[in-house]
Amino acid sequence: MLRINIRLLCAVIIALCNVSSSFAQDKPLPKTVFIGTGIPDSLKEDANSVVRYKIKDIKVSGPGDITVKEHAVITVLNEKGNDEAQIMLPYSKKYNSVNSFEMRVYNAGGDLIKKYHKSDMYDRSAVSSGSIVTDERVLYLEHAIASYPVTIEIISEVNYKSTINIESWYIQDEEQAIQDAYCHITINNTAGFRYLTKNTKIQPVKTTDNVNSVYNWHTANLKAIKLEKGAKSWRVLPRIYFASNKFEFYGLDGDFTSWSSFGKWIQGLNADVCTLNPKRVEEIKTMTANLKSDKEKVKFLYEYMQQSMRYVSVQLGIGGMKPFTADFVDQKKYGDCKALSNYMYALLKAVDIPSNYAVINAGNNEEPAELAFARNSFNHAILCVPLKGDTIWLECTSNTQAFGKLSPFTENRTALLVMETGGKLVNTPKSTAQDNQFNSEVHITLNPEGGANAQVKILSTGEYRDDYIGLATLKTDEQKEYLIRMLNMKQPSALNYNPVADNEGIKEVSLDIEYDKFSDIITGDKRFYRPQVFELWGNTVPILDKRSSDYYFNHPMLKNCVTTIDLPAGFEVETMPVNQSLKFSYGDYDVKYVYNAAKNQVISIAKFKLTTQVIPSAKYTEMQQYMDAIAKAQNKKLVIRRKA
Amino acid sequence: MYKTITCLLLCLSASFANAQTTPTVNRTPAFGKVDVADLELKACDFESGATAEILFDKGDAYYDGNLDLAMERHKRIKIFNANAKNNGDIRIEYIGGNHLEFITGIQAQTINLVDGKPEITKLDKKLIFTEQIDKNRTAIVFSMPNVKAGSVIEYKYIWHTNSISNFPDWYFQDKLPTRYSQLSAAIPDIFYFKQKTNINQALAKYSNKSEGRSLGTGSDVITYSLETNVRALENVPSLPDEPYMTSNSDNLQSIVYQLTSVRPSGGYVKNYSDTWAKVGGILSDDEDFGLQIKRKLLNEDAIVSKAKSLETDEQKLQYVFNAVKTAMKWNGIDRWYTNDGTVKAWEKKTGNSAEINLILCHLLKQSGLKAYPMVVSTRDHGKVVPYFTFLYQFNRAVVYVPLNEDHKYVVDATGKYNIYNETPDNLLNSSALYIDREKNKYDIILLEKQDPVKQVTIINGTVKADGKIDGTAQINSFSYNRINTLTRYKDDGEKKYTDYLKENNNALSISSLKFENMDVDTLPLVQNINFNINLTGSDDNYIYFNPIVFNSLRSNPFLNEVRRTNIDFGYLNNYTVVATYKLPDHYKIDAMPKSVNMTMPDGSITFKRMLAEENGTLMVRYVISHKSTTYSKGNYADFYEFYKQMYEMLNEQIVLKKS
Repeated sequence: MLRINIRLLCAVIIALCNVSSSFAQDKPLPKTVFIGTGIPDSLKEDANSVVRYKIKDIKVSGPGDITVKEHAVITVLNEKGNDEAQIMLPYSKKYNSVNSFEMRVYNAGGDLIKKYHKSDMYDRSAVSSGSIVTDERVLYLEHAIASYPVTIEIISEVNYKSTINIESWYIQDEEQAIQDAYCHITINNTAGFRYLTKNTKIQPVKTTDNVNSVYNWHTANLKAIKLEKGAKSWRVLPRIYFASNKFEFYGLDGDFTSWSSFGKWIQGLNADVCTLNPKRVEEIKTMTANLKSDKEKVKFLYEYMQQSMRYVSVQLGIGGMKPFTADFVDQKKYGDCKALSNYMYALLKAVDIPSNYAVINAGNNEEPAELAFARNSFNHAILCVPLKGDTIWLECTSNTQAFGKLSPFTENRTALLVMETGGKLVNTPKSTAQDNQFNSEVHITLNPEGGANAQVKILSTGEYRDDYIGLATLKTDEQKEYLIRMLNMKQPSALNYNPVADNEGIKEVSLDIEYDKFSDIITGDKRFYRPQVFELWGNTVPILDKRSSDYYFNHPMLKNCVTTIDLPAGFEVETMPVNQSLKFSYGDYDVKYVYNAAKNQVISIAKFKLTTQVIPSAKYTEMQQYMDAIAKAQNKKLVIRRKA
Repeated sequence: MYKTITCLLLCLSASFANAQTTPTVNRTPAFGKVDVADLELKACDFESGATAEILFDKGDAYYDGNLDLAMERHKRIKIFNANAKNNGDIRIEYIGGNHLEFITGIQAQTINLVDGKPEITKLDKKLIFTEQIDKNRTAIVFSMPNVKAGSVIEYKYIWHTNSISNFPDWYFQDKLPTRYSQLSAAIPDIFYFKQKTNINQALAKYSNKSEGRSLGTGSDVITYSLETNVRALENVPSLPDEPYMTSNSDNLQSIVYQLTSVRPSGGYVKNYSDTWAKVGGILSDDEDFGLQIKRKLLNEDAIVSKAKSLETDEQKLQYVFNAVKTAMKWNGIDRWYTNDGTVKAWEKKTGNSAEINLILCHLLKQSGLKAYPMVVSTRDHGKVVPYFTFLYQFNRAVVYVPLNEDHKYVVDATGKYNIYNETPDNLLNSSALYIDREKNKYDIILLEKQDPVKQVTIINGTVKADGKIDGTAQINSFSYNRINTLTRYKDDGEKKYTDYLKENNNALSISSLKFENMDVDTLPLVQNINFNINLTGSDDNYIYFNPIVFNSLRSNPFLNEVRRTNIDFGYLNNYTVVATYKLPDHYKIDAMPKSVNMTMPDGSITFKRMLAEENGTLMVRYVISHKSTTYSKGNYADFYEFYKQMYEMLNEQIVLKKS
């Protein structure tokens, strides 16, 4: 289904650079790892590339001095593995540097055919589009692979003087097999080093002397993983996250001993930027003076912020973590997620309503931060307003989000709340089917020639509301085309779209539709119809023998449609579509048809409900069959005929 | 013509208004002078639903007294609603490498209507960022302050270049509708520029002025005339992305300048290319083009001697083409000239499109064939305008091989799935220049595919009383359909390809899929499919089915009622479905789509549908043929209606009733 994405993400620049750096161990590698042929078939299955040998060697000399050496030998089996020959190394002019880099390319027989050096790399700004301003840069190199298999060897060393995290070990990419992989970390015994293992059970061998500890992980012969449709990679691919107690970020010391200490650090960054000047404070107080409750004030100020602001991303140096001042945002009327959340905080502070700036890992169904493992996995900021018995969450980068509602972008996961006393990891609200409703009323008037007129009224909330809010960015002709595709309607002869109202998080729209030809087919005295203007539920999922990962929808949902069909004068029902009542573990679908002889009307009432967005793998086949049954139910025909 | 007249009328009424002492409408008021009417403007009056509009865009390009080239730019944008606020984020890219271009004098401000009066918020200079994108490109980036629904934003700057020939291109059209766009070009008659203009609406302004000037002192003085030409368009619609449109450069209304000669009084005259023959001559002597063809390649003898041993020229061509295509991997870069050169590329087994195809050209010549290098432009790069004799119109080199009168091939070994006997479809309907150095012949020719490109699906099915169909389908794909199908199959793999064939419909299952002629370029690709369908619409009395299975036309791409660009399919699509269905006992046809013959008013597309039943067997034939590759936006209403009806008819079902 088509969607217009109207939300924005901040501070993801470093995350864009997924291929990372490296070198290590001086021991010569056996010639066989450079030979592309002779890889066991079990490792080639579903694989576009095979890691023949890889070592990541991380030396943490201090919070502001981390060196990552990497040495990788990867055989690329086909074109889909070409990104293994595309290297992107992030750096920044003052803090993070690429010390050395070398790439060698070997043919199938293991003969060296090409060598690249750091000087061959293309130097460019890390992000270069739209309004995003950053001083992060990348070195980039791409080798055009002429034939397969080909083996790529990369030896690199990167030094970080400014980083909150220690680089993670992403053991395996999608559709990549591992023959032999190592990760070594050397770190001071007092650094408070810790690690979190995801989707793998491997354990390190640890050795310790008076000063440092060395952790060695090793894994071998991992088969390639093909991500199933609707699966999330963070639930499937093996990886290990690292953290330690101290860090340095753009010359600033930080403490990540706990969620509390990191929250305290962020609070320190925000402390001198979160207050509006006294004149504005007075104005804002005046603006809200007549509002009775705190909740009304929060709503008023949130909507005021939404109306006046726009999202602009500027990430320069410490500005990657520290917001613009509230006064700057107030004057310029723009900011990124940090700046806008901090501004909202300042607005509330002006009227003595306390709130908490919160950082989160945003994105639909993205990985939540874990309570037991404090590390920086955040890319976004929002605001939490803890009113008594009624905690309100605010997404400040959206001009249209309903007051007090998050969305699949941030809901249903952990966020780090920044408080005076430090940070606290809490859960954002879980959305329910009631939060994402699509309620529609359709009135179809059939004419004897097979054509029809239809009036459609749709009331939507949550993500469905977003669909219609997003339409406003399109021109009139584009809106019509978009609606036909989004609702998967039969192409009308004429369509009129009216965005009627948007109140209290409910968006109402209406459509007037004309069809010269609405019936599927007509004969002299009969007309055959699919008795609907759009399908209430349009998805099916592939039939699989075996499903191993959970299936993710973006959100739970509740959809209703009441359709009234006026038969043309002189016609009567010949065949009614059958009623259906379908169920699966996480929802149900119901459709009932009634004929009202007095009015010569057919009325159908259809309902679709999905109670959760995560479907366990064990329930996949049940869901697949259920959705096929819905498709079948929606395909049933109404047949009418001329009265004798 | 109509437009021209209305334009004249508008001009007339404007001057009458003038006589009545109403001030003339100045379309490009000075910086900071904003008409309250523009601040109050609620919507674009020539484009429904536009979220923002460019009020004006004004460029004054000129050579100053020292013949330094610069352009003063002033742009003003109206924001209608909050959805368009991001138009306040400005990014100006230029070629900053070697100081080729640079920007000075940036000023920007936002104007809002506050209590009926304009309120100006200036951009803080500290918030203008300069981004070094890479060693060549630079961008100036800034965000306008205080932007809200109703705001007018404006900015101006001076763009400079230290190359006299780097005259800026001017685009009258944008992703936003433009109320007024004006370019003033002041060029000394020392320089002679050719102009490629793509303007399809009446000019709102046109003027020429000539002033005598001189340069230098004493005996070195050069006198010249400064020619100032002003052109403007008004109410220019936005240019959206549309299905089957050609490149933006074909469609955006624009003027592109190209220096052809320099005439200083006294000194030497430097002539740039101004005829195709001259261009061809330059190409054949170019170190990175013509001279590359002669270079001997490592171990080429094996290929050449094998080719020579083959009997026909056609076989030789096919052999050498496949040898180069297999040996060389295109690095994705399109140029008409070589970068590393053919010899180095051949050793590395990878290169840009010129390298690969000049290698091919060389080997074909060595094998005794008539082969000529040819420069072309890909569809994305834009159509070549034949009267505009400039090399930058091209972005790829290929090889022209006229074996005989009937077999003139344009071969391109860059695409993995390209075949020697089919011009790549992204080169069609544009012109190409080939170079026959020996005969000193440099000809520009139009690349076309004249024969219809067929896809023929033959279905044999049995409809069963339990509402199922068992059947076989044979899909025969010719020419580009062959290439497209094979490309999809090889790129996606069998599983994903099967899902594509099924259109993710779980009611349709494919029990076997077999290909024929996958490796024979000269034959159609055949897919033999065994399938069955669960006819889910069926109930106790009726069976419903659509006789077209594996519909290669999918859903209608032309759902938008409005069209701003011409439609270009590249080649003539011709689609045929022939189906035979055995009907179940005790069922009779209750409803059947009528046999029809539908033709576009100008005859450019025909749709024929025939259905007949005999002794429990249903015979069906659908034929769609395009007689034209391009459809003008002027005739879009007809085209839109034709496609709507055609898709309706493709979706009509057959109804069987239990007897």
